[in-house]
Amino acid sequence: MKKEKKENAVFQEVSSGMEKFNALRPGTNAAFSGLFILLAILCVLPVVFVIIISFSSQASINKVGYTFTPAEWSAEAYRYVWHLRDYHGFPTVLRSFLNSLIITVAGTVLGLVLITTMGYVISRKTFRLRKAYAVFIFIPMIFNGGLLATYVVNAQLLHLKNTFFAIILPLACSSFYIMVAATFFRMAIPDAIVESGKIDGAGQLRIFTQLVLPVSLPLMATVALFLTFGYWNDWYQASLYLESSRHDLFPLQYVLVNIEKNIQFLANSDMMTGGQSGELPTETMRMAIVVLTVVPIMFSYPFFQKYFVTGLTVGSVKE
Amino acid sequence: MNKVRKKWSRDDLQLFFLSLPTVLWYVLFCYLPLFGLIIAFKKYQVVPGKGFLYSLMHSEWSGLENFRFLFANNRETTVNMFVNTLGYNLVFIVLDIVLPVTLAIMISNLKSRPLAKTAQTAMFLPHFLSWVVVGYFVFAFLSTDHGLVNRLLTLMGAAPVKWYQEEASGYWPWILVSLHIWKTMGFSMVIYLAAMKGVDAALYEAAMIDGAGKWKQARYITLPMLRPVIVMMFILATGRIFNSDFGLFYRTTRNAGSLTGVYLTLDVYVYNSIFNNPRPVYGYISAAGALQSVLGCLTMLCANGIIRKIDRDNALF
Amino acid sequence: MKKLLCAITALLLLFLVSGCAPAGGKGPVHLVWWLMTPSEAPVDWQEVEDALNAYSAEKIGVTCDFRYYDSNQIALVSQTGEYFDIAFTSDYWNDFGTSVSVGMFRDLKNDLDDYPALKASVLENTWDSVKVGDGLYAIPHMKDIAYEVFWILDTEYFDGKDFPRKAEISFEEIEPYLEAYKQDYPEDYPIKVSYSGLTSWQNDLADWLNMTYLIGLDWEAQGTEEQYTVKSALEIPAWQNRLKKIHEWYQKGYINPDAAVTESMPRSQAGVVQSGQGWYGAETIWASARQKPVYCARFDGPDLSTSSVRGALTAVSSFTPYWREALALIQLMNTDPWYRETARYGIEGKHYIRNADGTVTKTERGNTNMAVEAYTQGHYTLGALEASSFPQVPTDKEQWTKAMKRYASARTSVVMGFVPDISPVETECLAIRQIVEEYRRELYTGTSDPDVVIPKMLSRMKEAGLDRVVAEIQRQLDDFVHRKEATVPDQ
Repeated sequence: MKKEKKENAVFQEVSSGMEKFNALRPGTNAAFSGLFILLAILCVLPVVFVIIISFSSQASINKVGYTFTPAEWSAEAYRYVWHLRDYHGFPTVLRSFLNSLIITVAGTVLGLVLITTMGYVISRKTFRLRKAYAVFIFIPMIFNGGLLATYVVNAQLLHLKNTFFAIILPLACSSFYIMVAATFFRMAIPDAIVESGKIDGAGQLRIFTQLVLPVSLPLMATVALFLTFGYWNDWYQASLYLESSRHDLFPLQYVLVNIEKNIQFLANSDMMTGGQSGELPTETMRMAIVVLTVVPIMFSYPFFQKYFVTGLTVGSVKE
Repeated sequence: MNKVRKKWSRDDLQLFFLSLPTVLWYVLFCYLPLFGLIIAFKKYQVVPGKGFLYSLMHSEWSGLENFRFLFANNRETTVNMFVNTLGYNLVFIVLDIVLPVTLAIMISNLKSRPLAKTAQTAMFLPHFLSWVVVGYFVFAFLSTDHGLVNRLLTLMGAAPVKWYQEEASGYWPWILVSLHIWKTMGFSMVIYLAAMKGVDAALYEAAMIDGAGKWKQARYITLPMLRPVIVMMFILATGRIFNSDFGLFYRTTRNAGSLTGVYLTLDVYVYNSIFNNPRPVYGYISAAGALQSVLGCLTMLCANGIIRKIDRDNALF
Repeated sequence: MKKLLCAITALLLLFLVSGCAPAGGKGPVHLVWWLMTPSEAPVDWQEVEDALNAYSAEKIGVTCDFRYYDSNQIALVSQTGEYFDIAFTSDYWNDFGTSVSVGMFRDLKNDLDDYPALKASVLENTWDSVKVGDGLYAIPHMKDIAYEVFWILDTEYFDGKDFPRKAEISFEEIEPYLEAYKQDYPEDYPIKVSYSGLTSWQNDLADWLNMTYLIGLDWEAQGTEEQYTVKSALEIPAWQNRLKKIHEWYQKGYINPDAAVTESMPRSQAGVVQSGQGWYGAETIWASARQKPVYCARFDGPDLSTSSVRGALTAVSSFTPYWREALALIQLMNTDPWYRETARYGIEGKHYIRNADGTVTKTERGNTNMAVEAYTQGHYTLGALEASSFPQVPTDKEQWTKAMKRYASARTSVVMGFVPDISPVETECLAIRQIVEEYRRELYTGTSDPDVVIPKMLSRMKEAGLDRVVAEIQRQLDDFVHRKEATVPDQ
């Protein structure tokens, strides 16, 4: 078995041959497969459950509670959400979906830049400020100024109120991911690469963008996934920094949370008088909101996944 | 040996500029608000018409007074609170490393790649559901009259259990731990899988040629290569040992009164006393947070110190 | 990569610019008014605000920026010193008592004479409750100012069972109603509640000084020597006895078993027997909200106390240079029917229709896009009433006049105007709160046994310092009483 050929295609063919030799015993494989099927079912079931409930009618929930087989199917929760219009008659969910999209994409890009650069810098053992930086990013992991101070800095000092930046900036970076990145870079990018880059006359920036990043796709995919997830789901930042009249800026999750709070409020108070049609879809609405939040993310997941599902495939560094 | 160079090299300068945006971010969003920590030591009172900073400067110092409220309740509750917080976290720290690593190695060796991909996606799903939602269908399962579990029990002839009351308190630690594993498994797996992907395939090939089977490969290649990540996760986890996953403990148990002993952690205690209060006392919240931070920090440094003695390279500091 | 970044930045800037358009701000004097919302400002509020501002600019030369905050946000904005001119306040939102003690609100004692219409719109005996020390710090909203708690009974069912309709039924007397339902539907529950238990069940059980920490005076002790003794509710017999009754009902299966862990019970799902804090004529609103005819029978009250009046107040900030304009605007809100109705219902024709008899009916859009807590804006008694959805439950146009008359003869607290300042014993209070939180859901829903739980709670509270709290509040109360007695009697 030769390893000298650098052509991926040949290598694949060869390695798949090796894989057959190196595969698990059929018995073990079956056992493992069985285990994972079971785990997968356990994890998917609740999501299926949520989807089913979101498509039940509220009347059915009132009668039999949460069940896999509702007495009555209905899309009333979704219809309710769809019919919510903003002041100009534009569906609220669409507008907020767009907002969320912008925030998520911009935030993820920004976060990737901040995290990978710092992660790379810290991973270089020869860097002078390495230890100082490690301490520098470590302290905020432990010590937090608290809600009031953060609010004052963001709203009053930096004037981020009522802008998208109020949501994008505070969530962009995280010491945890920097450390993950640093660990990855330390393991996967030996000094040899950096040296070879320098010999070719490249500065650190070029080394970073042209040598390091291309082979760090698993890391970038992982970090990007978590950033995307964090931004997409956030409503807390929105609730703090977006004034309640600025409906045009609301991201999706915040709108959905408000819809839910409103519906609870309407159902529980004596405010909803006058023309109303039928039962307020309170619990089905909750689940519909979950579905609306989770499904878009679920669809984006495979895009990230292909970068880090591992197996005995091509490695990263060739000597 | 890494000696600090006396001269500032060109490399250092370039790296410095490369990291500048991030440093700026930290200064603005992490270090600037740090002055808020002094709220923990003051009796904060807003001065009408003036801003936050002015009010903060003019509030009187209260020393360690704000920390007292954590211990104001009777002995039993306070002890219970700390035991719960630390106990669950210790269990979680161990399980959160052992299980995902094992599963990651297992899943990367499955013959059927499509199955592996699907299973991994499926296992990531619970991460998307918030604890609030999880609380709802835990309720659907454990509700006294309509819950699925009780219905099953009556079908089988057993007596239904009042899950949210005293009699079920023995089951809840298991329920909580299982729920935690269910929710975080996929997430942790992803991190380890990504790390494993960075391992040079040549190593595995060499091992195969030497006749090493799967088990040996895992033991002598995968695990050692994962060690930096594992150690890092471990040390970071110890830093949060005085915090807790609020959603898990509060939402799934629905804050049921008679189960309090089972799920009362520091965060739950603070929430119960302070929130839903027309006048949240920020000094107390800050004090609780500061205490968790300081204690967590000390724990983490200890853990780091121990790791240093065993495995110098991988310690964080 | 670079191109992508540029594109994104450009997009962002575009949105920023569009999002940063200044909001209104025309007109002579522009004020800021803080209001309460459960989640967000009503969707159509901008339109309504424009209409309101056009009107007020013409009438009094003032326009206003109404800001809606929920309970988390209000704490943040008020504690970080953000600017406001007028604010809604109460005991449970934007804490009135504490705000006064830090000097957040303006003393209106001498100013009100310049606004006679406003002064006259408020019931005389409620002014006491907004006085702190020597000053007067807010305008009470006219609404159900006394606590009156009613049974809300499903008309169709109970009429069908031949239960006579009474205007008053005591708390215990409801039992035959519960029994009847249980017999007809053994698998169902006549009372279905969330973890707070029967709505407002404890409003009248004590002359509350602080409901959060369960501290108050015993109504039964009025007229005796003990009338000024501060107690924890756990030591007031009426409170204990009612909980025992509720526990009995739980054991008989009249209450849903998982009540203690049920977060909310929508009106449409609650049982045929419900309760609620109400007023004369409230059944109109209740029937519309529940979409079925109901009638109500009072079991408690009316009791007038500081706590009942302070449910809704409007205050002026102490540091605004525009307090005259602010008071003028508050006067407009509380005396001008058009302004009040618009703030409360929205735009006529779009959000509501005016009926021939003078009542209004909300449209579908009004229900979804203009849902406000009307009592937080100003007088709830001002403006057209909502029409009833059911002919069996007619709207009485004289509703509020009659209600106010009834309040005139309500049982009144002997310490009107006293609110304890708990900051000296804050730590103990928080510990007490934690204990209350631990037990209250099961206690209030009848799940746990009061005979077992109340002594436990009491002993834990004492350990946490309940006696110190009671002593401190007693001290403040005695001071208050002495000062009151030292002033001219008929004030």
